[in-house]
Formats: sequence, C-alpha cells, structure tokens
Amino acid sequence: MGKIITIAGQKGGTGKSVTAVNLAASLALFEKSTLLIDCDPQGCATQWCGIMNIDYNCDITSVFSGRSRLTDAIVKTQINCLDMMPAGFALFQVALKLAKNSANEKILRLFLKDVEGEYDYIIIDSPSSYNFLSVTAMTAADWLVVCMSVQHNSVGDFHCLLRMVKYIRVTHNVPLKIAGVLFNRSETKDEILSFLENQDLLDIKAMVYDTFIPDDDTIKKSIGSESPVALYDIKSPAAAAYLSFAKEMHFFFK
Amino acid sequence: MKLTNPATIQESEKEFIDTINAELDWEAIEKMLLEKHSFTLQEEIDYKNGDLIVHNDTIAYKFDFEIKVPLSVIFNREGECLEISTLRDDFDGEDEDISLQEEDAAPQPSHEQDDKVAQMASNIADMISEINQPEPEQAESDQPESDQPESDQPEINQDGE
Repeated sequence: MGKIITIAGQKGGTGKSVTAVNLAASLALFEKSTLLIDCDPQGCATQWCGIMNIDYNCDITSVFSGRSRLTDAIVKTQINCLDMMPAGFALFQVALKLAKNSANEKILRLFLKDVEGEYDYIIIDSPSSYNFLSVTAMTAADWLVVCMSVQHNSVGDFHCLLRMVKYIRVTHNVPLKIAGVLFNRSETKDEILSFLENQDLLDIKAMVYDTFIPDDDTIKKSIGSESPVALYDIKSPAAAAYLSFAKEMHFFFK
Repeated sequence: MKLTNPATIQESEKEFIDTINAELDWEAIEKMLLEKHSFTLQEEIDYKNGDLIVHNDTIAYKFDFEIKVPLSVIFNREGECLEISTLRDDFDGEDEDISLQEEDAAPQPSHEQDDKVAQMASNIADMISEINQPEPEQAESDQPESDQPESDQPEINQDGE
C-alpha cells in the first residue's frame, strides 16, 4: 500500500508546491510509482509539473463534485512513473460547498482508497492557511512533510500546525503523523540550526531532514519552464537536493 | 432498501446528478416516508439539490427535494439508503471540535504574548511525541526502522537502481 504524504505548512512562500512537484518527480525518477495530487485552487503544482499542454477533461474538482471517478482524473506526465491529478480555480467553488459539513474533510482520504494500492507514493500539495482544502489534504494523508523556511516561519506557525494535526487526528480518527521538517531556501545547515535555536525550536531538531533545499535560481527557471527542476537541469544544486531528499524520504519509510 | 440502481452510480458518475435523480425509486422513498412520518407523496416533488458528501466515513450522495416539507435522501455508492430525513440539515456549524476551543481567541497584551510563545515552544516536543506515538496495531508497520539512510541497503540511488 502506498504512502500518502501531504506537503504541509500553513504559511505561503514556504515552498510547499515546489516541494510537492520536485519530491514527486524525484521519487518517480527513482522508478517509484508516484501520484501527485494538486489540492490547491491556485494550481501551482499542476502548472509546474508540465501537464498544462496536455488535454484533460477531469480534475480533482470533478471528483469532489461527483462528476468523475478519481481514476478518470489522473493524468500521465512526461515522467514515466509520475501521474498527476490536476486542480484549477473551480476547486475553490466546490470547496466552499463541501466546507459546510466538517465530515466532508475526509472526502479525499475516502476516494484515495480506490488507488492507494497502485502507487508507492501519493504526494498531496495543500494550500496555505487553515481552510477546508488544507484540512482535507492533511486528513487524506498518513504522514505530513512540513515545509519551513528561515525567512517565513516562527514557533507560532509550527505550534498552530501541530494543533491542526491534533484536531484532524481526533475529529476524523486518522493516524496522521509528522514525517519530518524540510527547510527550503537555506544556505547552510548552521543557518537552520541557528533559526531553530532563535525560535526555541531545538526540540524538533531530530525531525529536520538532513537534506535542505538551497536558494538556487534553477528552481525559478524550472518553474518558468513548467518543469520539475531535475528535468530542467539535473546537475543543478536544487535538483541534487531534491533527489537527495527523495532518497532520504524513501529510507525514512523503509 | 435499494433506492436506485447501483450500477448506474458506479458507471456514470459523470453527470451523475441528473442520472441518479432520474433513477430514484420514489415508491421506496414514499414507503419509507409513510413508515417514518406517516405521510404520502401527494404533491408535486421539486428537486432542489444533489451533492456528493461524506456520511459516516462513507462517500455518499445527498439529494434534497421539496414536498410537503424539505426532504433529504442520502444513499451510498451501492445505492443503499443511509438516511432519509424531512429536516434540511445543510449547515451544522455547532459541532466544532473542542480541541480548537481550548485556548482563548482574544488578543493578549504583548508581555503575555511573550510568555505564550515560550509556552508554545515548550509544548511542541510533547505535542510531537503525542502525535507520532505509534498506534498499537501500527507500531511495527508505520514506524521507520531508522531516520538515517543505511549505506548497505542501496534500494534506491540517484541512478534509479
């Protein structure tokens, strides 16, 4: 049964979507069968995964509104082992409707039962903030990867996220856990340690991945070319970091 | 009790609202209404809405109608009736989880906020420990053996081997 991992972090700009796309692409390049699910109406993962020029009739919105089966909304990508479920702005409108009932926060988790056996990893990109879709994305997963950056986060953000995890575990009775914390846009390990110390977050040091993602211009360029960074320039520091992160992630679950 | 053809739901989720609505077994619904509320369907039935919902941890479909009173019918993907209700319960905003209500929502003075930040930092380790505690039945399967890659187990490498 595949590992279902949501890339979480309630602040914008911490690199959730770019992490989701590049982690999924890197796992797929290691020939791990991977499904990337975009659960954000902004559709950044959809755009950056390079499927915008592929015709598709169904997406996560049509699944959530009952107009298509989940399997019909899965699109093949340019990477052999990577499939994707795209999203667009219409997801926002469907989410407004579903948000009237908190039980609906489990909708993605229930639908994923149809396909979780077909993938080694299912990576879900969640939106920022504490809304229906971010809770739905976290409820669908068994594991969270928390994205942080020394420029954007504080102890308060992490505390809020943990409270949200507790809410989901209690309300929906799901075994959601924290897989680890990934630092984006970092220069050195010392910078991360200094941030943890300044924020009184040294208690989470053991949960911080050895890999961190450098502030590499190649990421911006790969986004501009709507391609995972490993396909844009596999020799770049960012591509190496994402491949290393995928490897660390795989060993974590192994 | 079957309210609709299960194959219709499974095979035609596209444009499913109209399709399922057309296949609802109104004789069965009327029978249930008669048993539960002691009234029959004499007036014209107005379709109001059809939604996919989660009902008791199951993907389900909820259809709302207007007859003498608002009528909601909920059935699962097999077409089995899960609930029939004459009360429209579109919004149940009073069931917020208590875990979200345990801390004050009101703004606090800055010196109290400093204390609160320190308190949050000291709570985080306990919260993670509680969250990541292995479930009894999952302790063996869910927990990784090690946080660190093991150099003698090269199941995955950058060559994809």
